Amino acid sequence: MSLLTVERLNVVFTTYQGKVKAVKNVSMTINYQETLALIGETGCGKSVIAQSILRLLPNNAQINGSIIFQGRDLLLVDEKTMASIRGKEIAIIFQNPSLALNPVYSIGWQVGEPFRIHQGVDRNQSIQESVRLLSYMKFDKPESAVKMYPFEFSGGMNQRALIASALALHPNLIIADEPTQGLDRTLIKQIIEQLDRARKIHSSSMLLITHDLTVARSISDWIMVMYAGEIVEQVPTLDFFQSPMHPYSQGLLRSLPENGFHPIPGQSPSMIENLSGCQFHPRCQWAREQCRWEKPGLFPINRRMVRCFLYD
Amino acid sequence: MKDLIFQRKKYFTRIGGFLFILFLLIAIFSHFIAPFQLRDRFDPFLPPGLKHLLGTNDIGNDLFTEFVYGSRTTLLVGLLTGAFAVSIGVLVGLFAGYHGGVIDELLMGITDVVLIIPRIPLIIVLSAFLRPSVGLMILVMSILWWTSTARIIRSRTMQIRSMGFVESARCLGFSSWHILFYEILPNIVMIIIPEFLITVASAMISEASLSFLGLGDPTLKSWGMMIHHAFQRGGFLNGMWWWYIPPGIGITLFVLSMVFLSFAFEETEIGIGEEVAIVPFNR
Amino acid sequence: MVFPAKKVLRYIFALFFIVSLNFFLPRAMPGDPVINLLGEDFIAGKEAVEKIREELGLNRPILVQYASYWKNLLRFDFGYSYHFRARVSSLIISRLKWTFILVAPSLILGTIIGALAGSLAGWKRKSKGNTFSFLFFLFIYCSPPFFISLLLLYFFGFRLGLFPLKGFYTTGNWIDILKHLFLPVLIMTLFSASRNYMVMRGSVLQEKEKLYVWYARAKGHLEDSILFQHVFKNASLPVITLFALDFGFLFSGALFIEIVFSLNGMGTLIYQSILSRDYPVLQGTFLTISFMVIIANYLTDWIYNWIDPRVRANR
Repeated sequence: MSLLTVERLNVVFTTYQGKVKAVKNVSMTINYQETLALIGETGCGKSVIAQSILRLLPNNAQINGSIIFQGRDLLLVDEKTMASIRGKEIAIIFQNPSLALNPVYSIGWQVGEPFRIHQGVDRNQSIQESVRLLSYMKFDKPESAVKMYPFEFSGGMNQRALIASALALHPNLIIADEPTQGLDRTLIKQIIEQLDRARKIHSSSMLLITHDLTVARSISDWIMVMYAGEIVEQVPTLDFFQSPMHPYSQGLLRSLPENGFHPIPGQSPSMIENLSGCQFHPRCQWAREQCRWEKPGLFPINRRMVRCFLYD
Repeated sequence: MKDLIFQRKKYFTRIGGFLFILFLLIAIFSHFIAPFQLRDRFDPFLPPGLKHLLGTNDIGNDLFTEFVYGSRTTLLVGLLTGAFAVSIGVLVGLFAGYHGGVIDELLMGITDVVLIIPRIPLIIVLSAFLRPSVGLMILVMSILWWTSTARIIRSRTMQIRSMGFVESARCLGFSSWHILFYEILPNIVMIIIPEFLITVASAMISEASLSFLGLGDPTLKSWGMMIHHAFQRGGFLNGMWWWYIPPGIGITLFVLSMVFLSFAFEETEIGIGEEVAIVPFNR
Repeated sequence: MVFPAKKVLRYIFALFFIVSLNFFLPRAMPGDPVINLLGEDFIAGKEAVEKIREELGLNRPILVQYASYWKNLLRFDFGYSYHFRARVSSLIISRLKWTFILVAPSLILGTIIGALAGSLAGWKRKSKGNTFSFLFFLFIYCSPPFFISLLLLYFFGFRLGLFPLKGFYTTGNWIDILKHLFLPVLIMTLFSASRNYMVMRGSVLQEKEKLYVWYARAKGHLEDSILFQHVFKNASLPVITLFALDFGFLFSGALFIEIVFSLNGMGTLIYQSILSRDYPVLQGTFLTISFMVIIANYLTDWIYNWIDPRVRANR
């Protein structure tokens, strides 16, 4: 049995400019102790999926579909139950750690917060726990680090504090939303290794959201490629890097520095207008007449799924 | 839900606009609306009736006539003070925000100093020494009321300054005057207008307060002065509510109309700020 | 605690400016400086006026006068009131305590009520109670305090006869004092609460979409605890800043309330001085209020420092 099953998830935002279809008919599965990497360009709807799982969407969002987590549909449980799942069974690591942390509270107060919320631990004890968590994340002087404030830390340090806090209650699922954004290469490697090590020790599963293919390659078991709110390819990580099948996946790999840094020409379509046919056809070198008018389904090929008529 | 908030905002704006236009018309056409002259005398202490809608005061002046003419002073002081004070504030804010550095330090230092001076007590002292007049009141209030505008305009100017189109105008060699007034100013109009409305509201309350103390222009009738007379000459102690409640409500509604109108200019961004957040006024 | 020199410098400048203004006003204004300095209740023959002119030092060079003016101020010598037949400083001190009895509880209550109601209104804007509280505080916010005082005094004092119309503290009996103070404190509290309400509401509306709020939610907080454990402290920062800026205005509001209720504080003192053109008292009260505003600003800097770690680190 899998830990999390998302089925036919649709998320629509109502804005002044019109309806934004951020997630279209997405289905996915995360197995126990596996890492699924969701990759794609910024704004393709990756983060919205993460927010939907935790039901952390603004008021102007409409969610449809089902998100089954350990036998419960998260879209149906009441707010109180949902709150008891957040931070305890599913923890999220936000992008922009320096903005995610509250500027007027100390790091220790914030890292130890899950203990206070879910276990009724008192303030001092929770700060003791955060000293333990921070030392675990290789902070030099955790005793003094807990007394610091987010603005006194670098982005990387804040990120590690967020990871420490996410691991506090051994969640079954860790959602890491662009955990490496804005950090430099050496730091990325270090943080990703720490994250993966921690995940393995707690035998958690992870949903890794990133636009950085190297990060995805180093720690994920599965890769899901998203384009304009849709899944275009779902594939075991090794297979993805050996033989990407969807033209967009191929384009993504070609844009890596080691493969010559060839960017995909054109831009992703606006999520407000309705583009007919395959969402990628305006940028696809193999686009044919059919692609313009008909929407390709997800075609199963061995262990993978590809949304492209080339594999029909 | 979004439409609902839109509607609520529209609702506020409509009420504000209606009230403002109503008072504006009363002020402009006082001559036609007022049934009598300010100096006309009738029986004193008459309660409201058909002939005297709001009764008469202790020396027999028609109070409805006073109320109608009183709107003029409030409007005059409010609008002129608003215009002058906001002009000063916009200029100071633009220069401080655009030039930065020493100029910014200096102008903001002055702003902070002016901000600390307690305004009403200062005006009280000044008006006590000088013969109270509308002109003096407008002048002194303009000199003291510009500070919050200056601060807001400064921070917005700093934001706009770093944007692409201003940078490119500077690279193209346009003078800073040109950039300030043709590139930046049009982009802050939407902040200037609510600042103006709020300043007008603040000036109206202050005018009423000073007139209530008897420091209003003795040659002009104003709502604050009506309340002053009612309080001083026995209207209040004799329970003649028609003497001081209508002008008080007039002031409140006038100020409300300004605040409601300013709601229309609240920034609207997707997800946030769809709700009116009120800028504090009349410090 | 050490502050950035810049801020202290500005306070010193403000004080300097206000004192200088106070010095030059009676000397530059139209009319005889003797009258401007002593008030219009000072009546004397020509010879006596000249004698006083000499005593006041008005014939000495202006800078010498200026220096001795500062010296007097530092000794709390604000001059003599011929109208009240008392030293201005002792007049002010005797009146100030009544104003404080009105202002201090109202400011504390008003800040608590305004901040709580305002933050709730910003946080859960859809509820009926919040719409009502918004309109209620907006009405208070848009009315001059003296008008609300007149309204309530008319209704509760006149119509219902619940409270006395005139507020002199004749008996000194506690119940009597409380009865006299109830309405003024209520109005002053509402007045101060309405301003804090508006600021807090706007501040929470701005804070509620910030990422740390979402993060708090993601950790499993329920809505109310996000407001009070995460948003409140951040949102109260503008309220604190505003408190400093507002202090002079709130204080002026208290003066008007006093006048309506004939409470024997600073406001009534100012009112009586205006009516009798008692310039020394007016100037003395202006100086006193300015000084209190500066102190209030300094204190709020202090509180701000204590709440916001970013400011604390930058000192």
